[in-house]
Amino acid sequence: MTPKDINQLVTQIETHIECWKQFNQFITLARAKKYGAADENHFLEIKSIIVQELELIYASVEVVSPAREEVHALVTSAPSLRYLSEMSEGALRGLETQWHKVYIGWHAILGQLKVKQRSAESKTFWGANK
Amino acid sequence: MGFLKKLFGGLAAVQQLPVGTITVDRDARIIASTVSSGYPRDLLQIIARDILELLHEARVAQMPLAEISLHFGSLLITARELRGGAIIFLLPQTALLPTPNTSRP
Repeated sequence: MTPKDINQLVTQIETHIECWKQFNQFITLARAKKYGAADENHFLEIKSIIVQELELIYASVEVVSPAREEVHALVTSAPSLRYLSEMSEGALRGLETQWHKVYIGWHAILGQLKVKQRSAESKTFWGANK
Repeated sequence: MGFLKKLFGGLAAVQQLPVGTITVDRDARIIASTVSSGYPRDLLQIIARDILELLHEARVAQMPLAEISLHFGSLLITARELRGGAIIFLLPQTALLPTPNTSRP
């Protein structure tokens, strides 16, 4: 993987992580039961983007955790904001726990890539890899 | 901001409004999209660039925006900042209205 590829992947995963943050904000909206038709639409779009980006990332780098199945299970367990708003507090907490696990997993992947990025930069600096 | 001018200016053909969402990185490169692949990519790129420019100008003016909503006559564009990039929701205004249910005799 070239330094340029690594940089691009870092940016891609950073954007993906931001989408996961948005996902959590929607859980908060659902819990407060403060959402409209536009939010419901945006929630569906966020999930679609997450699943698409996931495949793009998996195609570029080997990711052990979060596993594809884990992410799909989380996304499919939140079909709509209306559904989430009708869930019990315990079930919502379970969903948040799953979200948090995936979210932290992505940060670990991002950290590993930043290590690679740094070592690629230093190699370029010393002229060993141009 | 000349969204509509850029989208439709100089184009003789009637262009359908985009429906869906795009995520773009800080260089306005489209990362993922739920907009139909039949929709011209360069038009999405124009929207993305203008949105990032708007977010950037707000940051420069020390009034960073977390979200912007642009209500056009028939298109609602909502964008949220994502670490220099953005997620842009494109929704024709009619998309949220219920489809009229015409009763047949």
